[in-house]
Amino acid sequence: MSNQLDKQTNADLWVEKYSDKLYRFALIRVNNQEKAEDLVQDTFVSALKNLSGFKGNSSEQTWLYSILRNKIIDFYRSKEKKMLSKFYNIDDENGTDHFFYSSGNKEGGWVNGSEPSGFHEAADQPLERAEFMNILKICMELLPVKWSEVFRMKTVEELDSKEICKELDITSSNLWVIVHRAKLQMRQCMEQKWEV
Amino acid sequence: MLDCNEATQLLSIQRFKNLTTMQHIKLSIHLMACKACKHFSVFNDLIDDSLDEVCSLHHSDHLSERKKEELRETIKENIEN
Repeated sequence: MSNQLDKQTNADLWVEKYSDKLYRFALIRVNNQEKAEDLVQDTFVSALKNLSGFKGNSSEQTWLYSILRNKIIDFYRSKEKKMLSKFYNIDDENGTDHFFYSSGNKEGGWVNGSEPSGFHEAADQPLERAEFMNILKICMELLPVKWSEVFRMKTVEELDSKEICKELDITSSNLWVIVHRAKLQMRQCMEQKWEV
Repeated sequence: MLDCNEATQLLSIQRFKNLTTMQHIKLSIHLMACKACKHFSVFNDLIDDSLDEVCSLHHSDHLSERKKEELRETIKENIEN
């Protein structure tokens, strides 16, 4: 009974103290209001069920963030499988061969038909700007998780590249490949959708 | 002399990493000669600004009081079961 009471007290306190912060953290990462709310709820429930596992080595807030982060990773794992099979060749995730010749006398040059056009030049006009932003959001969603996560970490959390590498457990060379690949993929995706 | 793959990589990562003076010079020379990479360069700047805009939308988001109440109730039900 006392245990239940403790949990309820914690739940009330946590919702008051941390729910907005956790919600923003989740929303930035999943870009979906309803899903972000679910993730915050799941985080609190998991934390309360494992309250005895909280050793106090970190702050309560850090502990809750780490639970939420794991929930987000699980969410992305299931989502990524669907996304990748729908839109990408999984084996082709790291290279840029799709865009540039990898050998021969044109090595490093744009593969025929993949050269960027100036499709975005109209995006300065208000109407086209709105359309550009819509397509941007769609293409961002279609990026493999690690790629979009890199941009969100840089833009929203203003983490530097060392912190991003640490957070995602990747080397700086991996990071440059991810960023380059993501930009190329974004451009291609947006150009295709712009033309439709 | 940079090829297109190298030039677009420098363009893509310059927001994450300061380029050296030599890299800047090589990149400028490449962009003067390559229309496709110049298009990519303009797109790259546009996308960086737009990502800032998209992400900043969430800075002041918060849960409504009603949602928080629902959250308390759902958590209560979950921990009782």
